Amino acid sequence: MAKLSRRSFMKFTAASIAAAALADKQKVHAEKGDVDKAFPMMTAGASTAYGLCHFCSVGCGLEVKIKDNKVISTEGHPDHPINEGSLCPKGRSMKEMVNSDQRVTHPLIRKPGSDKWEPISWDEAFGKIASKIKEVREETFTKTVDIDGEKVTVNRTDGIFSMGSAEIDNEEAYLFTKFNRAVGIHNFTHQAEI
Amino acid sequence: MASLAPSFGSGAMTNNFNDMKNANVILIAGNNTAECHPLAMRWVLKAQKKGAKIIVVDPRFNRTAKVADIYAPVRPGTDIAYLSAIVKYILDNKLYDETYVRENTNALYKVNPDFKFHDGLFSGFDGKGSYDKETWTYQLDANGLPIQAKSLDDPDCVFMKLKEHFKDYTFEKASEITGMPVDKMKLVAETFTKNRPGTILYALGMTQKSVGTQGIRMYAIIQLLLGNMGMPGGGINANRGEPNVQGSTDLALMAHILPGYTPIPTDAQPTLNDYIQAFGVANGKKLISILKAWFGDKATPENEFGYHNIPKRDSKLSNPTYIPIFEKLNQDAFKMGIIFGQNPVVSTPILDMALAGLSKLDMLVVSEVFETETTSFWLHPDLNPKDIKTEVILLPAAVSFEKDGTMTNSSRWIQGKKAVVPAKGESMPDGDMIYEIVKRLKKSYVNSNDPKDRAILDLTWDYPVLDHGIDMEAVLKEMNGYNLKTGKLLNSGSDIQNMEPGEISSGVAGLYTGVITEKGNNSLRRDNTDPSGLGVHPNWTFSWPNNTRILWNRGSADKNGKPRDKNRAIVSWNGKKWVGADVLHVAAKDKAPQTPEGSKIFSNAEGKGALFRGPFTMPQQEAPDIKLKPGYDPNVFKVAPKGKESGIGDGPLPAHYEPLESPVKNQMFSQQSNPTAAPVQLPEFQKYGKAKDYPYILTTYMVTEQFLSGAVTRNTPQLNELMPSNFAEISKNLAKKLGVKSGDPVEISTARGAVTIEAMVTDRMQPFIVGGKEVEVIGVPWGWGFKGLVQGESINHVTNSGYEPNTGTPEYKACACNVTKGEK
Ligand code: SF4
Repeated sequence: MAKLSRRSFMKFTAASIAAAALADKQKVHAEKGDVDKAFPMMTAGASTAYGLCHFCSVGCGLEVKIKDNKVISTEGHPDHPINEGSLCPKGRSMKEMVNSDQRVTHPLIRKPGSDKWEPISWDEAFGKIASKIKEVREETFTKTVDIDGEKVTVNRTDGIFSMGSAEIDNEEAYLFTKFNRAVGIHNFTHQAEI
Repeated sequence: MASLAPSFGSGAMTNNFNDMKNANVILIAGNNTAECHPLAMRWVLKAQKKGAKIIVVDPRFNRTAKVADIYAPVRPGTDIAYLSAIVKYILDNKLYDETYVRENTNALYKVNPDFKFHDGLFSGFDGKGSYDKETWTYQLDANGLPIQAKSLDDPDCVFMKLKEHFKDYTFEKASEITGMPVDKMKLVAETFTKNRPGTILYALGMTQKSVGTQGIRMYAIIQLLLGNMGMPGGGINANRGEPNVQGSTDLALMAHILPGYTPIPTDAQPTLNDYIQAFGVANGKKLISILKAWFGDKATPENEFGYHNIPKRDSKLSNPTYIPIFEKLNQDAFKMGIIFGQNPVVSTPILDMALAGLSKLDMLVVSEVFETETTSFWLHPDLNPKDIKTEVILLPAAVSFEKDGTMTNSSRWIQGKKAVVPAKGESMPDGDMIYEIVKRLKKSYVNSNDPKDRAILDLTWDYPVLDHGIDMEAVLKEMNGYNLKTGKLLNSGSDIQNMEPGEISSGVAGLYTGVITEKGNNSLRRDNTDPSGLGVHPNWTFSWPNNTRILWNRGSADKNGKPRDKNRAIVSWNGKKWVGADVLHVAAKDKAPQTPEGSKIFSNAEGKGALFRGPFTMPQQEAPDIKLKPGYDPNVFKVAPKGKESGIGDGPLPAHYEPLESPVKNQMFSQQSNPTAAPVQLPEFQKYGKAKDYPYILTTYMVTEQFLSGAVTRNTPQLNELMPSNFAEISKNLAKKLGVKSGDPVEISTARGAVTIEAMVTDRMQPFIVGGKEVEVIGVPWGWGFKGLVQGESINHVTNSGYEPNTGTPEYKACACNVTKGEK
């Protein structure tokens, strides 16, 4: 199974290390009070990466600051032709979203009749899902229908519905369509319809 | 986008955000740009600074209206009435662009003499809920081509049908229906027609209605009449919702299409030959390119390229699928549900229907970033978890910064990005979850000889796995497509049509072709230069199709290939080829402007903008008389129609119908509402209210700080500080009548139930005078629920699940309600 270790991840940010070293020296001067004192900038030592806002479909570009493998700031990317460095409050909040303690970080299962989540391993979760898909597919599959006396192959899985998603990347959406159609799922849609 | 495609050939935002600065007038109607697409608003304001007039039409004086030059209020759900009055004004005063209309639309085509429209019904109505479209056709010559009138005054031609159809929509009549004052409506009409080019912005404010498709058809008709299509600063700019909703639609996460808007096979097309005959040559080639991408070497002419591996849709069904899924759930049709990145327990109208439906499943699988009302529906305060036997598996999804991939923004830019931080905890990209599930499915079927399992066993699924997930660039390459003879990536979507079927693959049927080529990944291009100064930015990422930035741009040049407006020249013919800042759309790059291939403006079967949209089949000229081998015979491409238009289910022209729940009678016809609206399936949930019990109009929308269902934003403290709770906007007039002030609870009830929300008493809401009667509108943001850091009652407990018959979009924007003082 694919897994990104923090070590292997360093490859991604290596390109920005030189920039990061430079940023280390960056300081801000207090304008009031201790005017003589200089403070390190919040982004000092951070590397810079390009990102996209993940809210509305305007598709603004983000300048993402990263320190210790964590996103520490999201600002508008000055080069992006649409937002030209600006952002709305949602775009700016992207750094809170990625770091949020509220995020689900482990596969969970809620058993029938239960009132709580319990952890489950990825392997077990995938296994359960794949075998349920197979079970329902076998039980509810329509191979042919009769149209005006003619037997027409339709290969439909009737007992599963599937939805999603305008929130995932194109490649993922493509794989999702491919998966659904291969299984025979035809009760298939997502939020674009509503 | 089911509404733009029938008019032009494919549906998407036609121009782009930067291009709005080129407009001389901008009509924002059905879209609160400042609130919902804030950075798009910059380009609206840039146009305004250069002198453009901004017109906002909305039931509410919203944030966009605040900066508009003209604000005109409209009663929710009645847009077609005032837009029809504008069409009448354009026609009566001959304000249309006659050259554009004659050359680039179907205005001169003669209509079937049996076509009629009487008292709100078109000819061919079955008396129950659907139309036979056979009279909505053109008069055809011996070759099956439309007969063209000599002049626009010919009583048989489309143009005269338009005049006849809209003749009763006077400003006065439209004002009685919409509540928009006559002088305001005249001002909107004058301002939009006088200043050209003009663009129109819309979003869910136009689509979430039982007449959504026809409302947007009005925009198409107006823009075609004014010659605004294809022009920088013109077009129809649909501003879409979620970050990748354009992409997810292109990639066909929908029941009625396959990627690249390729029609889904149905049981009316038992073989691939039948499919190609039914949908035409172009769609046939598109489908084969997808089958080659999905089933590789296992897709051969002998097995119809794996045609039977794809489930065939029931041909009796129309496109809508979302509400029908919840209806079928309650009819025990499903044992398992799979939901990726979506929160229907906030976004579905009549939430009790969604909750009861999900409770009937054996297993629900949800991929999400946060716990949502959907992942945790069994914890809903009205339910007892003990009674719910559904097993729920919650898969933690990685977020955008944690994965490589592309997203397509509203204006068709396929923008790439890289993973910049590792996925949090054990969370994983959705793509990898799907990859793992399919791998296990393949394994479980490995010993099967059943033909039905070929779809799973033969599916191409060997993507390289990198240390942070599967290689998304390999997936993008499959989507882009290959020349299977050379093994090289394709450069252009037109290759799908020009090459031999079976010799090329393309997972998106050519729509995304060019996004990644042998030269590199164009979605990652970040050169923002704009040599023309018209906001084209040709080297910024990649825009489908073929990097064209303005759709239908051939129409910005005249019949000789000269730009119609020298300040807005983006494509022109230099005597040898087409050149310019943008990539020519539809017409062939190397064909002279007067040739058939060089003059083609639109990609529908006629190649003309459809003012009138009926069914039409473009026949193959000089088709040989061949008997085809059964199944698939390559000769089918010599005999099948070139293109096919099926028309729109609820009429070839728009007409004013009242919303499904309305406080008044239709003042145009005795046909009250859309005659093709789907009937109620679940009477215990899907109740309709009468005006005497529910005299007010409920409308819903979103605010900048809380996005859609709130699944993410209600978990984001900095946004919650800005927008901590929900509210119901009511007029001062209504507040006085109820005896409430801002902050007091009000109970909003419909035939489906009641919710209590704090009132916000405001001047932004004003009662409408409709047919002499005062009608109040109540506005409530919809993205609230019982999970997240901030919570609130969902207005979707009481909205109406009646939906638009072509698209399936529920009529959230106009529900009948009552409002009373609520309990503290
Ligand atoms: S920053 Fe705001 S306007 Fe830009 S894409 Fe994000 S949500 Fe949309």
